[in-house]
Amino acid sequence: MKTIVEPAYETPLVSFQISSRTGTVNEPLGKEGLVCHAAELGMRGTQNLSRAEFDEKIDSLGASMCFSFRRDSMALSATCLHRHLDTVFSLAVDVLSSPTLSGDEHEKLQRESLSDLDEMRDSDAALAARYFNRHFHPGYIYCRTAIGTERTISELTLEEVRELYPRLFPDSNLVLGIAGPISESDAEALAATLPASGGSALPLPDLTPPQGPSGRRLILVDKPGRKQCQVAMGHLMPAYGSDRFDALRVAEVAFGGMFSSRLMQEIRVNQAWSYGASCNIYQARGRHALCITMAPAAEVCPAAIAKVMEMYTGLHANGITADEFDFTRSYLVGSAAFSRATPTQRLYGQIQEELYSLPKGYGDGFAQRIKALDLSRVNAALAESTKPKDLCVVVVASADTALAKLETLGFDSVEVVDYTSY
Amino acid sequence: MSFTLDVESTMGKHLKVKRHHLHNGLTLISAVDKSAPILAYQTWFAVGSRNESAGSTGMAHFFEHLMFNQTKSLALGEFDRIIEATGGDSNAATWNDWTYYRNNIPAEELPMIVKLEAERMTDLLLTPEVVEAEREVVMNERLERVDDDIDGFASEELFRHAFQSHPYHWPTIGWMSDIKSLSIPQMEKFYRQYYSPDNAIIVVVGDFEEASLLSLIESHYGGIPASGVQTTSLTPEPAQVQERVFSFQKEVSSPRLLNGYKSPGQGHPDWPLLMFTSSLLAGSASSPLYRKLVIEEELASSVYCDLMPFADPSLLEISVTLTRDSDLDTVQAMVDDCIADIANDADIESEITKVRNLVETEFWSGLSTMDGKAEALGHYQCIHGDFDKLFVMADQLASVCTEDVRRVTRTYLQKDQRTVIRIVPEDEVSSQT
Repeated sequence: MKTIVEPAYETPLVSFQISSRTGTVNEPLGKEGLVCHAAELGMRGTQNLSRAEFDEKIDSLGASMCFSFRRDSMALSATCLHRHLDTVFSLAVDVLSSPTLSGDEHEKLQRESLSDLDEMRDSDAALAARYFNRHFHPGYIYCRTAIGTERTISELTLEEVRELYPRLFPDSNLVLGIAGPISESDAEALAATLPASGGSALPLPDLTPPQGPSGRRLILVDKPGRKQCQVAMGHLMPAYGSDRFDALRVAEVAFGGMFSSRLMQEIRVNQAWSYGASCNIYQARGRHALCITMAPAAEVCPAAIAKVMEMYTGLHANGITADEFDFTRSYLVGSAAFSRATPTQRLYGQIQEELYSLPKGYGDGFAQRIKALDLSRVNAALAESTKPKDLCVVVVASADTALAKLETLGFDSVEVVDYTSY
Repeated sequence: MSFTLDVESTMGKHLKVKRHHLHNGLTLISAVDKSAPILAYQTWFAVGSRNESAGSTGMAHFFEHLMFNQTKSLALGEFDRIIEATGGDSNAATWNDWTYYRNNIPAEELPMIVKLEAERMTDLLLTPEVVEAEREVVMNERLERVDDDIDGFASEELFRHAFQSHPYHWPTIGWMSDIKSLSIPQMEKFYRQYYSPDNAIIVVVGDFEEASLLSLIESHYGGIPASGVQTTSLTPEPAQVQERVFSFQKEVSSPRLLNGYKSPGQGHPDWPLLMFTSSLLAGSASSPLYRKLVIEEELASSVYCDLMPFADPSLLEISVTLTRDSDLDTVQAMVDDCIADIANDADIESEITKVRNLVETEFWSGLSTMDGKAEALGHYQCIHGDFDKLFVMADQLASVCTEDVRRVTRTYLQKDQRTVIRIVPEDEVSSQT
């Protein structure tokens, strides 16, 4: 187990994170939601405290504690006043080492998760993200849902949860990070209270993507009564930390990562079609997606999508300009200080390096690596990695008013799905 | 120097906070924090939707957009480009009582941001091209945040029905019909009236030298005249004496229930007590309302309780997202029972200790970034005329007792002082007052 400490004495708050290299990619096909479910169930009672007593104890200390999940990792995080750190940490130890994992709470959590799915469906932006994630590269392990579907959540068994739980946080997979008014020796003393897990680490699954689909695919998520369309479009890109990633980061920001970027200037400033328009390349251990998002009014949605596809084709063919390169590089180098400004930011950066097996100082070295780039490398990376003819385009809209106009954009395939179907 | 220093205080263990006033009425709050080579620079204007009138709602928010456009010496888009070239970012927020413009920039860029902010305080250009383009953007923002967003819609309806005379009746973003019709002469008048040094507070937190900051501020803002803005006299909201209930049918998977109880403004002595009570009711997993509705009865997927930090009397909101097929009347009855228990005889001594710890943690969490510190200082200075009230509030929250909670619950969480919004996915809709 690795321990990282970020001392800070300005406030009495301490944040700690117990992270594991286990993530939702470790779920078997058809068991989507299992990792989230198992971890959440671990918070619902331990051998020492019932669920109600556990909640009461955490809250009475003014602390917060929760699990968070990524494809390749997960974490139990807590924030508390320094005077309560020992108690809160011991509660975290209980969660990891002696959860009750009761049948009653298992069934209750299944019902809660189904309600959370309902609540998610009431957000059009969340729907667009969920369906894009499902469709951007069918068959790829990252396209599985982390929170599950109605079917997979309903079919999870307590036996599966009990079998998985000890393997979520095995010693060999752990990274402990603490930020706040604490010394390294005190942090090491806390780390020593983490019990040795009897479980073995789950093997890292194959993160090689299958052959991707070709052509431009429209997935229209049909939701009645929409005045506006939520759009998410993109495709698979290289992995975080890979050779081309820094160059692509420059291109991503030049295209859609600032207010001065091409997307915002054209879609918002010039056309006034959408309040926002941006793009983002997701960071993960394996290859993940570039996703362009915007929310145009229903009547201008086809024109907005056509314009973005045209712009993306131009980006692939011509790259970014020298002016854009200089400007974006200046932005990224200057902005590096903001992602390391607080103790918790610095801590999380170091934890991420450990979880993704990146070289030590990878995050701190970001500005230097960006300074060393040149325009030809950025545009070469763009030419190799962008696939404007193979875009997945997800639109949350009302099919009765939107479908016919969207079909005129010449997609290679069109699929209409009900918004409650996934 | 034509500054006067009138307050010095301490934030955290050793962060000194100072307040200066410039001769033209500009207020400057500064706190040197060298923990990172960056700074937060915020300009707070005491103007929000409260300063608008029927027929021209959304003006302050519209200005939030316009202020990033053309000035006499800055071409369209130049403001953002200058800031982004440094790695910084710039944004703004508008609410009922204030608007603030925030910048996070590298420390060495202080002269740049002082110049830019002073420029747009006095030399903004409102051309038809800029105004029409931003009008479309604001209309799209409204579609996204209200018309197609169930929680935005419900919140707007709650305030629309809870307030009948006071400007809290209309949403900060404005009615769509008003957004479409706001004219440039109206905008120019609004700009000259409210965007002036005597209506502004500059808050700077970060890595800078105080003498340099004062010199820069005086150099760039010292020549801007005061507008002589007067405090707006608002029609007070008449006392609500009857419950108001409104139901809506929407395309939702889960029903929603909102209760808005008439509550005092943030400067009232009861505000911190009621704030504490809202946290006690639904501020954590073990709180009575959350435990009852979400954990024990499984009638809701989420419950929130928030007291609005407004200058004038406002609302304490309880919002519940129900689980599929749960009954709104049953949930409403449980909310009422829970409030009655707290008002009367429930043993809440242990809850008091818990909430004291929770609010202390929240207080420090809000001050974890330079931007967060600046925002807290700016809000309290703008609403209360004294940033130090931030720390007074923390002390007040730490000393709340059981009798305080019972008294404010009995006083404010009364059925006849509330407005209820019910969102249903089924066909049956009724509306009654």
